[in-house]
Amino acid sequence: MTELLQMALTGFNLGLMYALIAIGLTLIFGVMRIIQYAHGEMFMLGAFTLYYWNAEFGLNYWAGVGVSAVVIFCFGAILQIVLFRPLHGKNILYSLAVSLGLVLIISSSGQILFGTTVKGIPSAVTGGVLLGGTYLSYERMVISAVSAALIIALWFFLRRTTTGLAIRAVAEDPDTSALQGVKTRRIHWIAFGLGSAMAAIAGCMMGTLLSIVPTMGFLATIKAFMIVIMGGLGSVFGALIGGLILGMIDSVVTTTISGDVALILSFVVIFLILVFRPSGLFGQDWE
Amino acid sequence: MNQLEIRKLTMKFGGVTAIDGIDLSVAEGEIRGLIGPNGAGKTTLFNACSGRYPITSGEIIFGGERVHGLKPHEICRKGLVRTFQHVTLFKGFSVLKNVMVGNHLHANHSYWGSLLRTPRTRRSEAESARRAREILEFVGLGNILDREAAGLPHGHQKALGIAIALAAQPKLLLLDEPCAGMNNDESREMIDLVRRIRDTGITVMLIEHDMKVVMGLCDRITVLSFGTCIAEGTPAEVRENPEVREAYLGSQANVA
Amino acid sequence: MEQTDRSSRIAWAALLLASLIAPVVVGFDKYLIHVGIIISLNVALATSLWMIWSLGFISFAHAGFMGIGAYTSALLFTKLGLSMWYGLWLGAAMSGAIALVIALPLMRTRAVYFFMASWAVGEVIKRNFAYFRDFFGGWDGVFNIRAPKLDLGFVEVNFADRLAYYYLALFFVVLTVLVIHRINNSRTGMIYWSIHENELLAQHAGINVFRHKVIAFTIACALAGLTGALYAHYQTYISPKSFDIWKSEFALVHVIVGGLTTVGGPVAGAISLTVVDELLRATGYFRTVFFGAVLIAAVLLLPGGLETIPGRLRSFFKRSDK
Repeated sequence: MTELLQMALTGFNLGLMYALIAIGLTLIFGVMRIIQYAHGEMFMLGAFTLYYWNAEFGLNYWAGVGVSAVVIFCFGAILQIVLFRPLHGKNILYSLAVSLGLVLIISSSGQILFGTTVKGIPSAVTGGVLLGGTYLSYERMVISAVSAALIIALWFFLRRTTTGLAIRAVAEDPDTSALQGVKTRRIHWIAFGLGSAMAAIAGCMMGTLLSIVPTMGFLATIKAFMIVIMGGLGSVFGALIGGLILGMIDSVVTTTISGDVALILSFVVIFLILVFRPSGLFGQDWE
Repeated sequence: MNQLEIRKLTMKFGGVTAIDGIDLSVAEGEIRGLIGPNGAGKTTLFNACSGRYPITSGEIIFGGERVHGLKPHEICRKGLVRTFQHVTLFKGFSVLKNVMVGNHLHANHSYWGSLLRTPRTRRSEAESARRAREILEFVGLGNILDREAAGLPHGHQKALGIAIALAAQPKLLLLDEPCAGMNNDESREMIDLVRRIRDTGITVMLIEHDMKVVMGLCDRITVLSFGTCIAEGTPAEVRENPEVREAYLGSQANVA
Repeated sequence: MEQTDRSSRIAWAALLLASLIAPVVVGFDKYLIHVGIIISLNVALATSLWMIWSLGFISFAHAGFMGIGAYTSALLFTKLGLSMWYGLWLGAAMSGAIALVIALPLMRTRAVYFFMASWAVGEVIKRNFAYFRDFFGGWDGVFNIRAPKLDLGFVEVNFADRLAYYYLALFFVVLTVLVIHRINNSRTGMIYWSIHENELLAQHAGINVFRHKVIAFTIACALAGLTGALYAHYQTYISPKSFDIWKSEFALVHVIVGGLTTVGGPVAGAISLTVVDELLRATGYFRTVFFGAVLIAAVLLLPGGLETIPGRLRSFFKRSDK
């Protein structure tokens, strides 16, 4: 029983972080209809920004998370403006090819610049509490809280602010919102930056729990895509649910059977979801 | 015998009933008009007949066979062919190729034939091109065979849409607003084309908003409103029908 | 139209001739012949992926199906001692059969979702090779997959020799491209492209869209399986890593950079990008970085891909004539 609870808690914690990455990806797809294959690279760069800030220069952890988010926001926005804007409205394969190119460039320059040795970011919060046989680490609790808070903040941002509403309008119907005076080009780079920044923050969180290497982006991309497919492309809520499902599978199956089986099982789950709901759990039918 | 028999057809989408127990029959060789205010269920009826959406209940019988529950391509093969309200073409193809896709049904196609390019396949491909040219000649596009479909003027695109449908050798042709967005000259040509199609022995059922077109062209007219059939008869009968007048007054259109 | 037809025929003939005499030109250099074989395999993979694209979708499971062909042929050889002459066809058949079974549910998904679902399929295939260690050899893979010999009576050809294998690979690549080219230029190809252009209209024009999608996917995957078997017996060693997502992605990149509308596209893309990749070998660590940059530059600076170059040249010369 306690073991089950422990697994559920780990799964929940993992799921929230997965959701954070996936929401960024789904936001970018929803607004621009591009498959951002280099999303995991933003995750990786976010983690490394924090690593240099915190572990190398010894500056404050939480400020570092903020700096990392801002840096990656700008990086994402610039990428959008320089590389993806010229391809807007063209075949989705072209932007996919560009993002594949980005993966190659970023992950291998990461290996050259950062080296291939495994690095770690010291935890900002330590300790924990034993509650009825279940160990609750403060760090995981803080991370869960921050992830949840960010997801809620994004939710409000998309529903209450002018820019947020404009982002949703562009995602719903780009032509009509352009006619109604929404500056779609501006919305594009904002959404791209925002999505990337969310991945970066997730990278910062994961960076303290796990070790960081320049190739970690690829796994993040895989997880994010799995989640987004499950939940439905463009659906923020779907990404949250998908993240939690995947977190649970990862936690429970990895502990009880093995990591390989967890991965195979999650792919099978995705495949089945798509067969029975061809547009994901909460997705729309994109033509 | 009636060529098309629709009995107690109901179409529901979620909680919305788009068509509510319609009975309708079309005799062979007639031109049937289908009119009604927006949202009356005209296009939904076409979607049901062509198998695009599954029906909720009722029956659709074409040429004595039940066709509801069949896939669109199966229904097309039986000779019930439709066109679309919005211009729907293979836009990147040439005009000729558009129609050749349409008549692939009546040319024996096989993978081995394609792979080995047997004399029989070649003959059949040449024959298909010849028939496509004939059809294009018939709809008045015989002189622009090599133009790309996307670049044609609206009237030509509409005619091409009909040519694609004709290539499937229909017995009954469903035309969804053939004259939509056309000027007077184009409309007149279209009316003439529909008559000539009927004269080759093809039954036609068409949805049209332009009352002048409907009244002048159709043998009989069926009026739909809110998913039910409120009147049916010759143009003169329909024009005099008080219920029809009311339905149209409701939507502020004018039955001329 | 007639003229482009003739010039493209000349271009194909020139390409075939060039690849036939290439080993002589490079002075039978072992490394360059190796590059030639890699180019051939990449061309075959990209072209069969392009065949799927001609119906309007892209599969990320392609390397997975290549893997099925490779593993089938490899295991037939190592466990049963059957030579590649059987493995090639059985590998292709196995790949096609599995593709057929998977396609039935997979084709329910559309557009981007198909793409994603196929990606999951590719990963599951790869992970299965890794997971069933006793049968597939796990992450270590399968070793000692030898190339076959061919006894022609008067002379025995040993395909363990690189030069011989080059011609063998070339033969099967030409076969693959020819099959796809034939299908594409026939009524079948027209039906495929009509589905690509407008699936709804194709259905209502009497085309059994589902059936054609399943058949095309099966054929393309069988051809990928054939390529996989050729790959296995050339490398003599395969592992799940040989067929990971990057293999599919590179095939896709070859198609995109080459061009999406004609068979020439994937062929040109696979040849030129493989050459670029080999040239960048000299840059060591920076190889992948540069390759990424070339890829991005190609997409941004040459919209439509390499296949548009002849048209561009023609219109350029026409303009300068005036």
